[in-house]
Amino acid sequence: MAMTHVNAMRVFICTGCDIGASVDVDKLCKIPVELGAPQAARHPCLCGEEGLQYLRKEVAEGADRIVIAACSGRVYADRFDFGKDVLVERTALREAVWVSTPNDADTQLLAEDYLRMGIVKLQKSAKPEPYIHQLDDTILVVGGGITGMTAALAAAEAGKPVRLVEKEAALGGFVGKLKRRFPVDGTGEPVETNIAAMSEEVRKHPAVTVHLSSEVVSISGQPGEFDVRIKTPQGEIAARAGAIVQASGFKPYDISKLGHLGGGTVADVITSARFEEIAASGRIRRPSDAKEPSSVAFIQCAGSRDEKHLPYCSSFCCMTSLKQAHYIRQQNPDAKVYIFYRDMRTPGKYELFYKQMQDDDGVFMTKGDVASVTGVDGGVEIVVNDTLLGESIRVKADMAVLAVGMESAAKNGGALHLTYRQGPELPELNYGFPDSHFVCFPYETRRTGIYAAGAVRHPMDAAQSETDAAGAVLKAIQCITLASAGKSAHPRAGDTSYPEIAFERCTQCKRCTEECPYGMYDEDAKATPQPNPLRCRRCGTCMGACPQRIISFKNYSVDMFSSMIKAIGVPGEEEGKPRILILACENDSMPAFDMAAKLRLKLSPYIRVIGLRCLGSMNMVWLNDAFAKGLDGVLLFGCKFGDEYQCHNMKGSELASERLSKLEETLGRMSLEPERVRFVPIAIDDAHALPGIIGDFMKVIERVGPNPFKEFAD
Amino acid sequence: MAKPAPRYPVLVIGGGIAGITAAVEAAECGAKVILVEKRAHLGGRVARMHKYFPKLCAPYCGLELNYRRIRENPDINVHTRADVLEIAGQYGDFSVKVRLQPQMVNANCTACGKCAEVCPVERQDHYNYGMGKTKAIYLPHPMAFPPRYNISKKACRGKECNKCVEVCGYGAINLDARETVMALKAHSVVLATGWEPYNGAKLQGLSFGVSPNVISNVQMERLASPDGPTKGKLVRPSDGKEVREVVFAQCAGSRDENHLPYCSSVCCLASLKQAAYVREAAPDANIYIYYIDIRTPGKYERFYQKIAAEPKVTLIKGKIAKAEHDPETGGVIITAEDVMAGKKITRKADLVILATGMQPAARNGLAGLKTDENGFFVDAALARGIYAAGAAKLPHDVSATIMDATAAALKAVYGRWP
Amino acid sequence: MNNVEYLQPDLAFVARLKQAGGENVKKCFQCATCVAVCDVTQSDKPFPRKEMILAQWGLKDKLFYNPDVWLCHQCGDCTAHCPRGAKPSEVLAAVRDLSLAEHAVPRFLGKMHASPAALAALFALPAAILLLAAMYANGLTIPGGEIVYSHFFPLKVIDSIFIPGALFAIITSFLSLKKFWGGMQRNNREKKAPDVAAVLGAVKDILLHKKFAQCRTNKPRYTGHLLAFFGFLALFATTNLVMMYHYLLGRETPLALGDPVKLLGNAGAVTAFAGVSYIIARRLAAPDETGKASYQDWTFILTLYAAIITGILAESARLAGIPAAAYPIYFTHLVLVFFLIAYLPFSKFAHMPYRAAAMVYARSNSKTN
Repeated sequence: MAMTHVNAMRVFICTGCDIGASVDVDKLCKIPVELGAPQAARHPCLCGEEGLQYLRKEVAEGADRIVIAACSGRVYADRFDFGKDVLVERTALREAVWVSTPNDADTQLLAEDYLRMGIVKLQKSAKPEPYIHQLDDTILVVGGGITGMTAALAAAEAGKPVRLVEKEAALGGFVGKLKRRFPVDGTGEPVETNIAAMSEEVRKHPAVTVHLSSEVVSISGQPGEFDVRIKTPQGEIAARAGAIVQASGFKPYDISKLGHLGGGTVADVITSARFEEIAASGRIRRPSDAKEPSSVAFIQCAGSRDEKHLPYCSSFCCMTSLKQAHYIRQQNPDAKVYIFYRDMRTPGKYELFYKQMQDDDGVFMTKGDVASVTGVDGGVEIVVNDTLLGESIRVKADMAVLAVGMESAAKNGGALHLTYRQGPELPELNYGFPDSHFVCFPYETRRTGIYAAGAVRHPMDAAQSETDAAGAVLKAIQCITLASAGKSAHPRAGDTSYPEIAFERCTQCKRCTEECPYGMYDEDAKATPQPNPLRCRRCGTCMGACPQRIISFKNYSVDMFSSMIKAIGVPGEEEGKPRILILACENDSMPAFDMAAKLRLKLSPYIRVIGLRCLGSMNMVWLNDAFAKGLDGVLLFGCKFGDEYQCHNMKGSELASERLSKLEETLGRMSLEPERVRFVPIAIDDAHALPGIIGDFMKVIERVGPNPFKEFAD
Repeated sequence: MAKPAPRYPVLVIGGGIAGITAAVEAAECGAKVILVEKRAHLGGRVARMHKYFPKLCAPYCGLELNYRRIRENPDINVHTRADVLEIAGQYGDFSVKVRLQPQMVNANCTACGKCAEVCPVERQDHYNYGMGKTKAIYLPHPMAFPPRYNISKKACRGKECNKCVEVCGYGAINLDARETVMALKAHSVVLATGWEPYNGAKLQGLSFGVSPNVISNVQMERLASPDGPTKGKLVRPSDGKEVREVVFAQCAGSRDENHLPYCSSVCCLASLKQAAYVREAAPDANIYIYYIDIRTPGKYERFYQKIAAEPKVTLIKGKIAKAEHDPETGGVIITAEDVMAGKKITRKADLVILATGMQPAARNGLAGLKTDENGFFVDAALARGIYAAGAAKLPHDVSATIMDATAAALKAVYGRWP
Repeated sequence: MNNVEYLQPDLAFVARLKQAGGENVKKCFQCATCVAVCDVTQSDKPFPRKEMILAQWGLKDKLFYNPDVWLCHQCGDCTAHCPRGAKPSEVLAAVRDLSLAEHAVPRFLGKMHASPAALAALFALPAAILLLAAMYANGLTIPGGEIVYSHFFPLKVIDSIFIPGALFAIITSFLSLKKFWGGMQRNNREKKAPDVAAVLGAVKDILLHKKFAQCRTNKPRYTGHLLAFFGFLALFATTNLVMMYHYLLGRETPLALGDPVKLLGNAGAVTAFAGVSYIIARRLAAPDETGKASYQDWTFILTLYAAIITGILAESARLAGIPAAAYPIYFTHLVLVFFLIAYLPFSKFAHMPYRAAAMVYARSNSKTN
């Protein structure tokens, strides 16, 4: 048995997949020696069973840092995993040769550079030491409506202790005030809400502690270690929580803002919420004279889908009006119900309930634009234009119900009161909803361990809220599970590295504390950043932001990339072979390169692509390094930013792009043209565009000429 | 109070977005998961979409994140080309039989592509919904995961041809491979069997399958995609002419007692999204969307307003009931009533896209588990420990599907409540 | 304008409409598939979608005084394609059915015709009149010898009963049509009087059965109705020609079989018989395609059928020389014919004037066709 060396590096070059046929592998094998590592070994197929056995044998004999120069790291990650004690660097030689001309001098230089960069990267890596502490797994649920109660029961059923805080004196929220809920599968009559039974279950559950008439005063800490202060009728208490579900619900739109529809001025014009309360309390009677109405008009989209009020659709109002129409018709079989809508939104199986209510003779529906709702003698007059009846109509009803939309409770004040430097509540997106910006990751939260669920984050009905609550609870439990093992949550789920800071050189510039997408850093009185590692999602934005370069991860650091850039071989100016550095986001841009390779699209052999966790982690010193080394241009490939931003770390590419604006000055001082650096938004399906984008940039570089520092570079 | 860890893994049936989500979410809570997918690759229907609404972003961005989570998590075991034959037992202790279809291309495949170069046979490209052809050995698209080629048994000539076997440098092809049956135990089951597009040929009068210029919305996704049969150029399938008049027919076979009585909930948004495709790929084209109700709930309303405000986009209330081949122009003539104007109109179009609905793929049940009269699984009717997620339960958009699948993961790992 | 008119949905009307055959009307969700598949509708004022929502809202005025309701030829294409099973063709048929009573002048006759309970009474009237006439003419005895129907019922007697009957029908038709036409103008705010071109165009369409030919679901009815229609016209012409023979040429019935008028009559009878037989067979065999037949439908069809059959049997019995059968059959035939003619404005037979009027109205007022 060989001696085990610590940090014993081995380099393996696979000659399969045309690598052997495209470059001189023997020459490549000698590259590691330049960098103080043993000569590389070659193998015809490292991913096959035989190749893997060979690698495992090497590991058993003491190799604990392995460069596998073969296919992209996105392929066969599981096969090339030799346990957490072995660091593996995947150098994508295969993809590099697939986009290049085989057996060509430039391709050889390309392959050699990638091999050098891979080796250097591994030389600068250390094994991450996960931050493992005993964590609390209590789920704090803020809000005791249907979402909160469902979350509480779900978490309790999952074996977690739950603390539920509700500001009212009783559980139930909005659904607790309903007479009935509409049937979820669209058939049959509106159903009992069962809120009383559910409240009872929540209050009685041994794993759930309920605080009524209580509010959260403050939350500090991090996932697994949240310190919560709650104001209860018995006084303020302190509690611990592992993760938080914010289920603080919604508020119906304020009727007084709908004066043009009689809201707030005509007594018998009320909201659907008020109507529901009346219905739930007994016979339906109209407000002005307590007469049971013999005709009711429902006005859909009241203050919704309207730039002057709520621009969005609240999605539950069509079903609600149909349900309420059912109440009236049940109470009085001779009553007339009018429903004036813009579009009837009853998707999925709800369509069947629409059909059911259509079949009720006493319900009269038409599309139309409600022009006015005014009080007249004995009732309410509604004028509707552009109806399906072919003309404007004028209808008189005993009362009118405005089907108003939902506003997030987050719009009127806080629920969490986080003591985070970046603010006390979950950041809001459009229309005041603290929602995820991604359809593919509805629980992607900007505050690790804190998940919004239910109508607080997006207009939704009770059934959807129940599902959302369960989803949020899963993410909450998952976050604690991951954090307990020192692992990050999505998008870099499983990552055990975390940022380390050399505080002695910190200048308190506040860039990391402001730019961290997750609010990981708090600040002390002197503005020194105070990291909360369990909030960290390992994107590296702070590392990129820090002008002092004092932040790094064990396996991801500024020095690492500086060294990789310096390892690139730069031919002299006379050879006419420029060198372009491409810093590319690993989530979207690197896969686009892989795709281009699969498609055998040809790219310039002068590019050197380095993948980053997120373009936000790009540190400006790398650009200095690149130009000092003699590279002629730098392309930054990251996700689209702006209103429809794509970056899963929220602002990574945007920050990188902003930092570039400060670069012009630096470049100017170095007499370098600003055109030498360009940010290009790349989406994962942009493979076909890569040749064009790179080609265009090469033309720019050709125009501005070679980097004048080339001759001074070492 | 903590629950004991499940003895057996969670079984997720279906590798589309719902199944993938349920699998990764459950696994990251510490559960072991087996994911079974009947096709050769994961991604289901969303992998065949060009973009998602409302951000017009690539589905593969989210899928890539999920594939990464699968790749890096040893607790997730994926079996493709596998379908479930039988489920017996109860919550905590299910006995499942899974049929593994013949693995003619095995794990040695490096996706180098040499086999497809030499394969002499062409077959209809099902990934592109029948538009275009692939070889009998194929990778449906460059980002297919697992990155392994697949052989269409129907098209393959077998050992009498053998060209792929001869050229494969990795011993990845075995044309003799046989189907096997695998028995496994599961703690719980998530049914994420997804959907199929409703067959437009059943819609009488709309000429689907008769006129090549009448296509379905799923086919439109492929037409618009740079990986599709026309590399993203919007041309008429019949003659390759560029499209100038594009018509979308909403509710084609949905909200219809003669076809699917329910609403598929995403087709309005899908057509608006595809209108955006047309605006980009054929900026001179006129776009008309004929609908009954425009269903863009919640914050999707903003997407609707944005597209509706685009130049050259017109929305007309009135369902298209006739789409006929126009021998004069080679295009299609549609007939509808412009309801708000009160006029019956016809219009000549180059391309008509039928917004066909979603039918549950496992509508006749699965392994003895029954569905409702529309073919959906109903959670309340399933035994404890078996949960449905996504379109197998109800037509959903991607966001709602993922919420549902995440909730299903909770139930699958920890049990149902209340 | 201070005189505010509120829309008053008439729930009772909706109930009546549903009972009259429009029971699925509420299922309509205004997709307009029916308009798109209807080959009979005009493009600038299409039907039947709008009629469906007018019906749902119980706006009976807008349905009764609406040419679209009668322009509809109950092809059934809309019903076959309707995604909600709302059956628009049945709804319009129900409106037509109810229209008969609505437009009827005098009202009570319209109501009686709509009511099965009054059928006996309706037949009793002509039966009684003819019985009295028979008593007056020949003491209710069956004449012996050769069968000559004019001995049983002299033409003058027949004319004195049938001409007033026909006049009654014409006058009440005219009054009903005036009400109908006026109502349509009021509803549509159009005041154009019918012009010659419109009338001629409508007549041409009717004779050519153009609209029937455009139907797809109920295509066989083109043949059935064509035969019944022309058969009936032939019989009607025959009756009038017989009158002219009598008053102008002094030629008496029974006419020789070879007589051109007789030939016309027989041809008409056979054609009409074939047509109505086909119509009845279709209604029994394929009610989904023909549409459900209402009480009014059957009353009309069967009365017409019986009239044709008794006519044929009367001639056959005469030629066969069976007086005991011939005269009673002839009597029955007269009762049936009177029923058809005198009650024309109140029974389903009224589709003739109403549809024709609607077609003329549509042509007069539309810019396109």
